[in-house]
Amino acid sequence: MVNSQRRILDVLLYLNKAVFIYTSLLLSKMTDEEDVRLKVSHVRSKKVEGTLFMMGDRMGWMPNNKDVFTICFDYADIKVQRTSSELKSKMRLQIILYDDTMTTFHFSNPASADQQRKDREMVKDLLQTLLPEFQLKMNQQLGIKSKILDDNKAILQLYKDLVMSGIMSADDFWKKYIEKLTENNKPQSTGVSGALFSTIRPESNEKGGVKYTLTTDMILSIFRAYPSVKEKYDQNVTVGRLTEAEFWRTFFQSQYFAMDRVPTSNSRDLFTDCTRIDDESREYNVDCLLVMEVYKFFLIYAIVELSIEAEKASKRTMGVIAPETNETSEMGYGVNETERASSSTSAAKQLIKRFNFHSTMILKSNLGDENIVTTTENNDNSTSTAQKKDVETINDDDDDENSAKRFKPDDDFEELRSEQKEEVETLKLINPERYLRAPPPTNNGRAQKNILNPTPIASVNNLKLQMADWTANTELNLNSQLALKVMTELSPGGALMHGTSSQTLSQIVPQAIQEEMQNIYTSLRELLRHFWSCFPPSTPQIEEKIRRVHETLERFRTTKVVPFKEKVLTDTLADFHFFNVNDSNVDWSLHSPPQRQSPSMNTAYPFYDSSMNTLTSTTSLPIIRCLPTSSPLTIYQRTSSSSKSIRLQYTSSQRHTLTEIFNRTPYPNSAQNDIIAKRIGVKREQIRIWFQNHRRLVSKGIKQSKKSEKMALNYLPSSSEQQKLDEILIEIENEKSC
Amino acid sequence: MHFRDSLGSIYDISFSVKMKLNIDGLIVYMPYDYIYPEQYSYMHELKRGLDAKGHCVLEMPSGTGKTITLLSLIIAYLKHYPQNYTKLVYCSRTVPEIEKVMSEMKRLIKYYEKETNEEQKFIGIAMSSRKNLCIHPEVSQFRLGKEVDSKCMNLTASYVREQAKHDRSIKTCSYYEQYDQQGREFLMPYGVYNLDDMKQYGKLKHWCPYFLTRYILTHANVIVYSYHYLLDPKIAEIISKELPKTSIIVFDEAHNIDNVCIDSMSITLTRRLLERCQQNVEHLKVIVDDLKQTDVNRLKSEYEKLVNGLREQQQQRETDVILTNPVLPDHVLQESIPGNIRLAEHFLVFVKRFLEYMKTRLNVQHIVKESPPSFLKDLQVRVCIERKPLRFCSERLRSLLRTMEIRDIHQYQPLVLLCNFATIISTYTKGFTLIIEPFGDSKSTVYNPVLHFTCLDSSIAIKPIFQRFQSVIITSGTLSPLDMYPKILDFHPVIMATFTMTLTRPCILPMIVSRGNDQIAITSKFEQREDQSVIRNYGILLIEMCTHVPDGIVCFFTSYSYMEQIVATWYELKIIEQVQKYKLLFIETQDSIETSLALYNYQKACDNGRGAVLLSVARGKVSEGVDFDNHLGRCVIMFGIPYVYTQSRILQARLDYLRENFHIRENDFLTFDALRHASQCVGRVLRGKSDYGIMIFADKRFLRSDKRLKIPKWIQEYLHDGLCNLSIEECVQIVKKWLKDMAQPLKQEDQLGISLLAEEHLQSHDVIKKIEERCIQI
Repeated sequence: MVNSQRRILDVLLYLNKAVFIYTSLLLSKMTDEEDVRLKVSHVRSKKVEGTLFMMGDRMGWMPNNKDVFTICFDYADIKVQRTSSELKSKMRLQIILYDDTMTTFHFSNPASADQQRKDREMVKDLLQTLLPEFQLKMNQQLGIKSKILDDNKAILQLYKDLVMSGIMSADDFWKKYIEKLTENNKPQSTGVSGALFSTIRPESNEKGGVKYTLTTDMILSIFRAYPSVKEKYDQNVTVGRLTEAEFWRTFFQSQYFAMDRVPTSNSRDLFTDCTRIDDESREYNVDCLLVMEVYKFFLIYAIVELSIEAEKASKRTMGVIAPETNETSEMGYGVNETERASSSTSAAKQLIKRFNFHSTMILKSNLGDENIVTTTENNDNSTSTAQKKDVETINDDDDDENSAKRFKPDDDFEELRSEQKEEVETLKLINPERYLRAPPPTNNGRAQKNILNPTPIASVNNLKLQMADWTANTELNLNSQLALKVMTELSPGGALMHGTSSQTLSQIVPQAIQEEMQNIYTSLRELLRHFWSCFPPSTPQIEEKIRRVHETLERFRTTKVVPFKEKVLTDTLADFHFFNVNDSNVDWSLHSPPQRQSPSMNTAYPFYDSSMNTLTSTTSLPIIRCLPTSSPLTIYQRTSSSSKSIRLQYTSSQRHTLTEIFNRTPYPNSAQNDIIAKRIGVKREQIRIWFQNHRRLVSKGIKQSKKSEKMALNYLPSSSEQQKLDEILIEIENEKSC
Repeated sequence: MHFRDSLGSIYDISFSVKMKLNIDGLIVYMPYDYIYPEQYSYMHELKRGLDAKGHCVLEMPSGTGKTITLLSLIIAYLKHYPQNYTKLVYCSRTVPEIEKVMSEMKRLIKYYEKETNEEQKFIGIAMSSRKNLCIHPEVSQFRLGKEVDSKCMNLTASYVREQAKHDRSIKTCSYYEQYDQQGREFLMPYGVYNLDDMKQYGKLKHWCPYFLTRYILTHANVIVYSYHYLLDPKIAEIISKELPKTSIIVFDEAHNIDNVCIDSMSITLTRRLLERCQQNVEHLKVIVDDLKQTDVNRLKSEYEKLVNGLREQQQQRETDVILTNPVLPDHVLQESIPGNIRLAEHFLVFVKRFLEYMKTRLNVQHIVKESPPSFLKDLQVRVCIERKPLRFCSERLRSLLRTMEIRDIHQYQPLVLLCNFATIISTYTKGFTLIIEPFGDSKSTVYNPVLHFTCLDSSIAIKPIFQRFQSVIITSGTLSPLDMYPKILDFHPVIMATFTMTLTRPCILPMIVSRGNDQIAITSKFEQREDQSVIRNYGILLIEMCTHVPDGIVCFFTSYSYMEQIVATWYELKIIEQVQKYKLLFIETQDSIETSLALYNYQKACDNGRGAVLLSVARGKVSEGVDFDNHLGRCVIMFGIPYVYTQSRILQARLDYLRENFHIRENDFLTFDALRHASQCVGRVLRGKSDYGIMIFADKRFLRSDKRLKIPKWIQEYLHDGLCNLSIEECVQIVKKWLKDMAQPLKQEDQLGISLLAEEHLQSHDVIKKIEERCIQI
């Protein structure tokens, strides 16, 4: 019997050592120091002798004469490793990363070739074990990324627009979502199994003793579920008053483990056990008595804890359970039939209490872990932890409140309501002027500042001055009836509004264009967000980033905005001929299908411009000098101010001229286009398009050509015009050769 | 101004379109966009009942919006036919339920105001005890209701206030003083006030909310309070005396109403209590002697009053009436108090004699069962106490305590109880029984004699209510079998109806599991309680459910002792361990604090996805007040049939009485009682139509038609033959498939027209016809 106990003791001892190693490992991970798994010297890279280090999540190579890693990569980045063939004399290991860069290490241990091979095998094996792990991590990350894309259509669109078309690098793009990534990536803490103790089964061994097998996992989970046990463990075992084995034995003997024992008999149990051991060695006795105290303490602790919890919970839930008691339904009145058959022993009741307690503790261990995590994060700053704790307790209360509500009968039948639309947050502009108008363009940022913030007093004074001699000039005003009449005429359906179509702009503009517009808008917004997030540029990295984002913006303009604009001009404008729509209207609608967004769109760019200017004056980055005079966004500015430049109606004479030129040279080259544009006074682009359209018309046959074209054919030019036309034709002829 | 109004209304319309229904020509406003078919038919029946000015018994499943249906129809009715009915008295069980009614009412009145664009001349008020309404900084700190009451008395009783006028050192309640000065002529602004609103209003005006509420009761349109204010003669006398005959009385959650009636008339005396009575009497005696030397006049004037038969002064102040007669109003004699107890010391001697007699009676070695007449006869023979003075005991004590100007009246609770006992036993000869047991617990051996004076007839307490008011509506989620209630409460309803739930998907899965996988029948029959195989099969059933059902599982046992026994056996059989692998285990105990803690943690475990099992008892606290909606309860297992403890002598006496007087067979009543508790337990799981839950009846006795047909209709409807007589294995297969079906999202469109009606549906005749067909009438 004694022997068997000793044996158990040894087993347990071993187990607990394992726990210690494990926990110390955990600890070391938590501190910032990386543990070096493997260190191999005499490794050459590019013929330089150095040392190869394999660490927790990266590997690095350090030349012999330096003490920094010149080569270093994360395991997560490694795609594959290759070894040189056995036949070759040199022992090499090639690492290929995901971006296809290759690095070769040459193992050159001077001792022997065998030693070299051994070194390499070691590295290889370690890599082999580590890589799958990290690849899994990578895959997880990829999975999360693809999930984000799947779940969120807008982000997917952005990704398509920005990353797939090469405007932005994927890393930059993901930076925004990195919080989300890490958040999701945080491993969900595993709870403690409810059947914590039941997995610890006593096994009888050959000598008739009882053996419990503990694993490190079990011990850890016991500690997690019952912090008091851990506390006692620390107090007794770590200090050295008890060995681990003794500790666990007493634990198993205590009623903490055996739930169905009644405490009184149990304590006697413990005691008899203790005395038995006492015969063997006197030292034991002291310890065991101590442990008994400890378990008494556990019990008290448990009870105290329970009662505190209970107080809290009862405050919330009691009202729910207990029917409203009245003065009379208290003592004495009522049938008051107590449960008569409460015959069962107190053991059963004890058991039930233990189950409740056990479940509570396990539940708590789960919830508690989260708290611990959050507090350890803030450990360095004690004040902040205190604050954090405050916050937590408040949250806790909220939680309780909610839970109390849960059990109360709900006073609202959600099902009986129709689903209400989600309320869309509307943009509230405090000072709409600022959004609608661009700040005056100036190259001096400081001066601009002054303009942007005129002193209120000055403006008030100004206003006062103006108000002083202001009188209402009513003579010029219309009388109300006339005004009303004009208003009705001007409103849709009125006499003056014949030309307008009653369709709204969103109906006129094709859906596809609207969507594309929207996409471009969101992409642009995203880019600008990146751009603005860099201000103020305090470090070189950020400056670098500004430069990069600026390039990206440029690229965006050339690859997205300009083509889109052209597309809209060619495709849609032609269609708009069929509607008698006011030019300016079309323009506007083109650029702002979601009308709500148009102001912000217009403002985004001016601010961009001006801020770039500010940047010039303050930081004088080289990038600023190459800033174009018309940033991508100027298009919008221009379109909103002078819409004629886009949608233009050729005069008959212009049309005649163009037709004449077309007859000679249906395919003008770019130089010719330039000349025509200059001569006629429109943009080159428009000329190009006119030719395109005209070629199409001609190829379809003159019959189908429009009335206006026929008119152009019949048009008789004046002599001066004819002369002009001739000049143009000659010039074009000259350019042909170029 | 006009512009803004029109905008406002546009906004409202776009916000939500609520309903206006036409129920037999009565326009009913319903503050929701949709209505359930059963609500519609419920309104129809209710309207018919109100038209006929009769009582109704209506059963409608929980979670179908009974409260709002009742409120909408009755308030519409009150508005439309003010000549027929003037007031609605809505009785509910717990404070949270009262709050729920108030919030529904608020919503309704808000809707009325929106629709009619004028302020509604309407007052709805919730009434509760001082404990819940007191705002006095010190008094409200006390936790027990009787403490708060007595502290309040100390500050507000008329004699205390009288003294305070002369003596500055005596404290009064400033809230009450203010109210007394200003509040009595005050007309409460229209609106709906719940308990918190009243408290706030009280704070604002610096008036006592409790007395203000009591004052407003007289002119409120709707009163919401607990059963006790109507059923318990001791408080009904104070609170509900002035309710007009034309009130509509609603008892919600009324499945236990007979027990409430019985409780309000029953008294239990123990030896300890009698000892405390003795102390009280001695204490009183000292005070009387003191008073005799200091202020003889007071005693004298009391005597004069009693001689003149002034039973109670009409101008008596409301704050004094904390003690009232325990018998029903019409049983109170209008005579003057008999001579032999008119003098204070005579009365004390009289009480002392009665007390001594009671003590000797409690000194028994065997169980005594006696009827009130034989008790009275014995009393007369042995200590010469006649019936007549005995009847005035509580009345006389009240007068004495008032004259003595006693403070901290709750200390005299034992004596009050004894006097009440004396009054009741001498007033009623029928429908009561007296049982004296030498051992409090039938199985315990500690000598602890207990006297149970039990009301056997639940109709006694409720009879005045049925007689006084035109319409009494008894409603609950589980009233089946309906015909039992009119019998035991002795009234004649004009409408008795039960409504089922119209569902688009079978979101309840009732099953009767009658045997284990080894084909051994499972039952909680008394003879087989110790049977290991049954307990093991119960365990296997629980394990199987734990492995397949997500989130919360609630189990009900027939009694605490049975649960303890089973849990202990399960522990030995390692069943508990397996359950713990899947879910956390929580168990209800008799200790209410521990239970609420367990409940709290259970809910937490369900919320955070861990999943939990709650073991509780069918007649316990959990089975009555707590809802396990959605993930809190996906499955309910009823282990056995929750019969009452049939060996109880009180129950035996009651059964005998029911058989003799109401011709109800013992077995019928027992089954009725057991099944209403079972369905009450099982019904906890479903609280609304988007919810879903499994209901497992694990006892082969549920198969018998006398039990199966007593399960509420709305459950029976889904309990088809394929779901009866299952083994555990079969049950698991069904559960698996069903859970998969239920996990699919439920859309509102699917429900529309079937289980959810919009206004346009009610226009079509087909739908109406369908609804009418569904409504099962008895």
